[in-house]
Formats: sequence, structure tokens, C-alpha cells
Amino acid sequence: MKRRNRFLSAIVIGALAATLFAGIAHAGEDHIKVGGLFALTGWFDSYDVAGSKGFELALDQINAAGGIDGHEVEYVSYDTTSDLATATSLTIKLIEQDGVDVLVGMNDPNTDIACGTIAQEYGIPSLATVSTLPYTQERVGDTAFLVPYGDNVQASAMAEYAYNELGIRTVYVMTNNTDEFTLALSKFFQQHFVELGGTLLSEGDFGAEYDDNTNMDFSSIVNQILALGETPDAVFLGCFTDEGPIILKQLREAGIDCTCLSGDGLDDLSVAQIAGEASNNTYFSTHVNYADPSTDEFIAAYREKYNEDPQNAFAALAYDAAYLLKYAVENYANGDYSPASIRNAIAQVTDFEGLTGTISYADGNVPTKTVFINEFKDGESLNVTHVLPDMDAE
Amino acid sequence: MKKSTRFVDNSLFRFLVVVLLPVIILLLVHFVAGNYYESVFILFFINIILAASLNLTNGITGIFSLGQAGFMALGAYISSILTLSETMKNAMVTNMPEWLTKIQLPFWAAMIVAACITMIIAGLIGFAILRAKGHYLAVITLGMVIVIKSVLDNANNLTNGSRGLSGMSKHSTLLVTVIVALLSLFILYRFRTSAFGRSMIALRDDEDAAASLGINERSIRLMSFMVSAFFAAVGGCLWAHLQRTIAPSLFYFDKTFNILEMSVLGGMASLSGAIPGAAVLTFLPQFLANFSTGFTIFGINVPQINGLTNIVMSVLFIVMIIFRKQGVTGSSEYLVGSLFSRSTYTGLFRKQTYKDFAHAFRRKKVHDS
Amino acid sequence: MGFFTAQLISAIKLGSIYALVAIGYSIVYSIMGMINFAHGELLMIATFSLWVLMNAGIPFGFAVILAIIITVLFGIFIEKIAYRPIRNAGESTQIITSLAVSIFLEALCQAIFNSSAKALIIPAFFSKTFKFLGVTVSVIDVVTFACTVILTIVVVLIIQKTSVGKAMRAVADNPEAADLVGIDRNRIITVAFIIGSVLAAVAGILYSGKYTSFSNDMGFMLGVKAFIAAVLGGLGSLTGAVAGGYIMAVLEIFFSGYLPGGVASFQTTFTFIVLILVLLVRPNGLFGSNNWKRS
Repeated sequence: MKRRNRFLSAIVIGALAATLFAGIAHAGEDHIKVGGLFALTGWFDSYDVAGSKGFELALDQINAAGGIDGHEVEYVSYDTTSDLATATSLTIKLIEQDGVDVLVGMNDPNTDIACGTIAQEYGIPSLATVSTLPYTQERVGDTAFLVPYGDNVQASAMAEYAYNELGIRTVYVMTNNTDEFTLALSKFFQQHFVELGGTLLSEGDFGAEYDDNTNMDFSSIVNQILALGETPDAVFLGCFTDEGPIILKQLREAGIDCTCLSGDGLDDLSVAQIAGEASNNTYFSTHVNYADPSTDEFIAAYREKYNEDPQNAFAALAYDAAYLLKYAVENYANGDYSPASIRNAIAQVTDFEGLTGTISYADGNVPTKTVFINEFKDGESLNVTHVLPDMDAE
Repeated sequence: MKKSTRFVDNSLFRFLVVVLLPVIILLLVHFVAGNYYESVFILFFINIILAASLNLTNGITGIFSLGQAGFMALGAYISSILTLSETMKNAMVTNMPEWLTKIQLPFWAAMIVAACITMIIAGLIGFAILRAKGHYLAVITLGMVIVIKSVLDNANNLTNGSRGLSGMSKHSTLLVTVIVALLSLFILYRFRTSAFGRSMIALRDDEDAAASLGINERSIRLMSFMVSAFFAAVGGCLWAHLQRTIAPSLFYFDKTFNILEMSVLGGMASLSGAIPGAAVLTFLPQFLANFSTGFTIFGINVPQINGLTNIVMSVLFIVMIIFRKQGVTGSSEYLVGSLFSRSTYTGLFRKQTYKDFAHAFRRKKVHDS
Repeated sequence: MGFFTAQLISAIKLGSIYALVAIGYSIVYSIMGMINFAHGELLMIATFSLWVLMNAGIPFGFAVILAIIITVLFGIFIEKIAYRPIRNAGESTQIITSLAVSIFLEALCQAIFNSSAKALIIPAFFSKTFKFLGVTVSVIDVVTFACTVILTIVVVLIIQKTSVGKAMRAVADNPEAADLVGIDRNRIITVAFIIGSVLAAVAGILYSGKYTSFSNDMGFMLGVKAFIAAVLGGLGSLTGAVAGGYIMAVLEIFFSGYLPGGVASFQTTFTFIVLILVLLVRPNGLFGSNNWKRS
């Protein structure tokens, strides 16, 4: 009894002391410290592993070339494990403990909003590399920037392409209702497609019961499409890479061979690998065309460092985020590396040429960029066209 | 032999370890360590409440519940809806009933209302399900977590669905959380040491014998279930106002097992067990997060190990359970008991205490050398 | 009518997987008296083993057999290392241990193979489809259903007709009495784990083969659902476990297909409320008995 209790208090005290003094960091004054919030494990990893790699590659290059304004960039990052609670707690840790000046990554829109809100309170700017939620600024505030375009942009680009180029007139829209991203994507697609003159046959939601690999069976929705009586010209999937290929496979298996459309959520080579032939005749919007010679240098460097090709466009987006930061600070920060100054610098960025298009934050924190449309063909993701949608119509 | 020569029973020792040391640590955390460590400690105290609430049912009454995350979710959601401002609710949730958007309560009121509503819901659920026992009850409570999550996921006009609610103010400060945690522990401790609490233990140890003593099994079990849900909701409310973003997926199996782990690791059969259990499960993951993206040890670069935290935690667990099934504290109420027993404080005013302390201290030294 | 048939066949496809996992769960539960949450992880181990073996160039049929053997070895290993020391501990200790084992296996797999979804490409023969009652069915669905039926019969025969089966029934009935008559309980538990692991391995391979996508967290929820199905059917009853699996699938698929617009997404809520109600009305499950005499 006696010994145990003393032992116990020792453990408790030890644990408290250990956490208290572990990794106390010193915020630097004369250089920029970047905090990375990428989901290296968990459901969101297919986007963020590539993103994290792209970002680190760019930072290596920047530092090798003398850093930003001649100062080395310091980088701290943690694995958010695709968990909202972990991500918010790590945001506080990065800001408070590691003293970062800017955050990068931010996972999906739900997480971006949660973590961005915290960053907003501290005045720390955040650059989201995957989230495409167009109303991020309204929900979070003026420190939250997106490197990609918004969902309204990609959804209208896809609607136009489908209506004008593919000749699609009727669609069935199925949506993962668990995330701001998929909901916004489907909503904007529907809206724009109907405006163009297309017909929405019906729509179906699937949700939380699918988000933890519980149930990979989408037969209920597939049966509903079959029961429509007519096969739609296209099925629009507001979904992520986890469920995307499984849905495609089950649609094809049930004999629904029509065109499938989706957003950048479907952008991952694993989709074509998992779905195999079922992924043919599927178009999705994305952020970059890796076949373009302007990306050759990036792909070569990526291959050299990681021994693999970039799995999706998010590697390029995160790569752009690093160079965007460099561009912003060198051109607009005037040697002031405080978070407030960095935020103002980013907000002033105009015509930054990245791999993923031209970024300007003149009209708000969500840039309007070129949308690339890719098609899955025999296990590969091939660019078919690019569109710069006219967003004045909105 | 003199009375009470045991070092650990000495009032001064108890005061130093259980009261003074934590106070010093908390003051250090608040004034020196910065917001991040403060938020970790807030989480620690919330976890104490959650683990203690689970210990009441699982360890003390012998109701094997896996439903704590569900009650926590109810507490978090109800209190958040009550504290969020009308504009926030309208911005986030579409078609929320108008009377509900209009309501905005102060934090304390919201916490109590949320906990009471959860307790009533727990009462209704418990009335139906507490007939089941053992593994069947475990499964039913797990099913209850699934049902609660699924309702929160889909009641879009109340909860904003799976996207969750955000933008709550940060009401769970260190001071607030410590006060609530102490109050909760105190109430739970008094509850446990009351006649009611002794009936619970009797029930756990031998149902038939307890029944023959005239203990009403069903009402005791129901009462314990409801009180436990009340404090789980309090914990959920504090958690929501610490995280300031909640989503149904945060109150699922991971959370329920997380609480269960704290409870088992610390020692289910005592409220005190909640403290070491919560300490390990709060601080260790935070510490391990530092290594989640690779680290250097003795000049060797260790690459990133995916899911390092889970590996370390689960191994620790299996080893712990094989060698010490009853958890850190077993059924000893030393920690909580010392904290709330009057003798810890009155003893400080007696000379004898200091004599004993010095005596024991010297003897210990002699003993050690 | 077409929609109904389609839904029914979908439910049978899904139910077969639940049933396979549920029988394994039920056997291990009856012998050990504990909920083995790590049972679902055996599905993951089987799938990953098969994937590694096939990537190493081992032909499919042979790789399947090896994968099943590896899974069985893991099953035995888990029982020896983690469960044997806590056999007489309380219910929650046992549950928490099996949870820890489950988390450990998932995390280990993640550390080795990372957590992204992977593709399991099985021979093209299995994904051939044909029309049955106007509904598209693929070969793997038929194989899954056949495996469920055959394996259920085999397991029932083992338990009814062999001496090991007799000993298993004795242990499930009354462990202490079984000890007294000289039954080696350790051996029987090992046998139960072997049977459970084989069933889990087969289910895992069929499941990932059907959906072609798998990841390190594929097993857990499936395991939990199968366990709930086993409880619904009545723990200890094999036919109950099979029935439970199918009922679960029918509830899920039909609720999601037939609930009216406003509440359609509440399918999980309704499914589990029905399950809880059934358990409250029949606390021992639909086909519940404490032994396999009537199975």
C-alpha cells in the first residue's frame, strides 16, 4: 500500500514535470517559422501525405537557395491524424509553443474552419492547401487564405465542360453529407448545371455511416439510380477518394456505364488503381496538369526526393504554398516578419505564377484560378482540358 | 507503536502531495507555461471528470457501460447550442427552430441545463436498458453511442449534421475547469461514501446478498447510471467550450474507449483512479505528438512512424493490464479521500503532525540507507 | 418489385460477410466468455497478408491459403500473449485488453504500410457479373454466399460430431466442470481461435476482394457490427449468429432504401434502435441459448 502510493505520486509528478518542460521553444525574430498541419494518417491522408511532401520539397529548395530574404525558414509540423480535436489542439501548440508565424496545410474544410478560427484569434495567417471552401473567409476571417480555387469555381467549370463538351443533359447527384467540401461541391454543380439548361433527375446523400469504413456498400443508392427508369447522362459524385472508387465500381457493376463527374476530391492515382476499369469515363476537376512541361522540374525533384511520382495535385498546391509565401514576404513584407505583416503581405499577392496557375488575393482570400479537367484512363489520370471560368456570372 | 505513523497517512504529507503540489503546478502552468500547456491541463481536468463518472458505473456499481461518449456528446451539443449566439446559430445551422436560436444562456446555466437534460435522457434510456447485464449491457450501450452519433449526424436543423458546430466562446478556462472538476469529484465522492454508494458496492460485490438486505437493485443502478451521465455531460460541456468545435465523429468509439482506458488504467474501482488514468492518457499523447513526424535520438535520425502514439499507448496498456489488472490505484481512495477529508487540513494545526512527519521522514531515511 | 429484389439481394450480399464474421465472434465468445474486439483486426491481417503475398508474385490460390494460415497464427499468438494472462480478470479488463490489441494491430499495420486505402486486385474471374432475377450479381457475391453456407455447415459439424467439438460445448457450458473432467481448456481455446481466425480470414479476403479497397482500419467497425449481429442472434448460437448477420444487413439496406425522404439518412439510428429493442425484449437474443445443443 505504502510503497504503491508513493510510487504513484512519483509517476504523476514525473508526468506533469515531463510535459511541462518538454520542448519549450523560442520564437525567432529574424526569420520565418512555418507550422505544418497535415494529416499524415487517418482518412484524410491521401491528400495530405502528398501535400506534406510537396511542401517539404519546396522548403528544402528555398532554404538551399538561401531562404526567404536570405533567412532560413524554420519548419515544425505535426500529424493531425485527420482528427478535428487533435488538429485544434496542435494548432494551439504550434502557435503558442513553437511560436510559428504562419500555418500551412489545414486539412479538410471542417478542420480548416476550426483551426483557422483559432489562428484568426492569434492573428496568425493560414494557407490551406487542400480545402476549397469558397466561404472560408466569411466563416473564419481575414487571416485564412486558400491556395486552391473555391468549389464554386471548380463546380461551374465542371458543369460547363459536361454540358458543352460532353453533351450531358441529365444528371444524378450523389453527395457525401459529412463534409462542407462535398456538400458545397454538389450544391454549386447542381446550381450551375441547371442554370446552363441541364436537368437534375434526382439526388442521393450518403453520410456518416460510410466515413469510418463501416459500410462500403452503396447498393441502396445504386438501386435508386436503377429505379429512376432512365439512366442519367452522368452521375455527379460529391465525394472523397476513400469512397470514390468503391462507388464507381458498384455503379459499373450494376450496369450504370454513364459518364461520372466529380471534383478534386477524386484526384488521386489510387482511385484508378482501386477501381480499375470502372474508373474509365470519369472526369474530375483538379489543380494542375502534370503533363505540362512547366511542371517537369517539380516532378523530377519530387521523384528524386521521394522516389515516387506525385500522387495528386495537392503536392503541387502545397509546393505552390511555400513559394507563394516566399513571394509574398519578399515582395510585400518589407523585412517585417511578424504574423500581421505576413498576413498583409499575402493579401497583397497579385499574379503569383505557380504550378497550379496564377494566384491573386485582390478579390478576397480565395483565388480564382484555372480549373484543369482530368480523365481517368486505364489507371492513369490524363488532362483533357483546362477552363478559366467566368465567375462574374455568380 | 504510535498511532498513524505511516508516512502517507500523515496530514502534512497528504497536504503537501495532494493539495499544495498540484496548486503550485497549476500556478506555474497558468503564469509561466503559456496557453498551450494550460489547455493540456484543462483537458486533464476534463478527463478526470469523465473517467470518474465512468468509474461510478463501471467500477463501483458494476454496470458495464460503454456509453460515456454518447452522454458526453449530449452535454457538449446541448450546452453549445445554448451558449452560441443567435447570429452564430443562424450562420451555421439552416432551419433551426426559431425559439431555439433565440435562447442564449450564460455558460454556467447552460452547463447545468445540459447536464440535467442529459441526466433525464439517461434516466429514460437506463429505465429501458438496465435490465440487461454484463456483455449484453455493454453491447447495448455501445449501440446507444451509435444511435446518439447517428442522430447528431442527421438532425441537421439542430446540430448542423456531421459538420458539427463551431465558434463557442472559450469558457473552459483553467480556473473554471479546476473548480468544476473539484466539485464533481467532491459530489461523486460524497455520493460514493453515502449509504447509497455503499449499496452500489454491495450490489457490485454480491447481488443476491445485497437484495436480501433490502437494497433495491434497479433504482440503485438507475441512479448510478443517471449520476454518471450527468457528470459525463458536464465533461462534454467543458470539452466543447475548450475545443470550441464539436462534431459527432468526435464522440464515437474512439472517445468512449479513450475514457474507458483512463478508467481501467487508473483503477476502475475508485474515483481516485480517474486522476492517474487521466494523467497518462492526457499527457502521454501530447508528449508523443512531438515525435509523430520523425525525431533524432543520440544522433540517429528516426523517420516518421505513422501512428506512433497508438502503438506506444496500446503496448503500455497490454503490459499494464497483464501485470496490474486493478489499475494504478486499485480500490484505494487515497488521492480523492485525502483531498476531501477534513483531517488533511485540521491536522495542519496540530503539533503532533509535524513531529510525526519529521519522525517518519527520519525513519524513512534510515530505512533507505 | 425490381427495387425490392435489388435491395434484398444487396442485403444478402452484405449479410453474408456479417454472418461469417459473426460466427467467428460467437465461437470465441462462447469459449472465452469475452468480447474479442480484436477479431475484426484479423480480417485486416488476412487482407494485408494476401496483398503482400500477391505483390511478391505468389499465385492467387496459394496466396489465399498462406494468408489464412498467417491469420490463424496471429490469432493463436494474440490469445497466448494477451488474453491468456487476463483470463480470470473482470469483464472490462478483458474488453479493454482486446481493444488495446486491436488498436495495436491497426497502428502497427499503419506504421508498416501507412494508412491510405490500397487496391486488392483479385483475378478477373471473380468480378464477372451476370443477371439474377433482373439484378446484377458478380461471381464474388456468389462465392461469398457459398462460403458462408459451407463454412457454417462445417463449423456446425465440427461442433456436433467431433470429440473436439464435444469438448468445446462442454467448456462453453460450464468451464469449471470441463476442467474437472480433464478437458484441456487451453487447447480448446486455441481450437476456438483457429476456427474464428479462419472464418475471419475468409471474410476479410472476400470483403476486400469485393470492394477491392482496403486499409488498416477496415476491420474494427465491421467486427463491432458483426458482434452486435451475433448478440442479436443470441451469443453461443451459430445459426443465431448467421441469422443475426443477415437481419442486420436487411435492416441497414432496407432502412436506407425505404425510409421516406425527410428521415432517410437516419437509417443507422433506426437499425440500432431496432437491434436494441430486440435485445430488450429477448435479452438472450433471437435464438439465444447458452450452449450449442440447439444450434
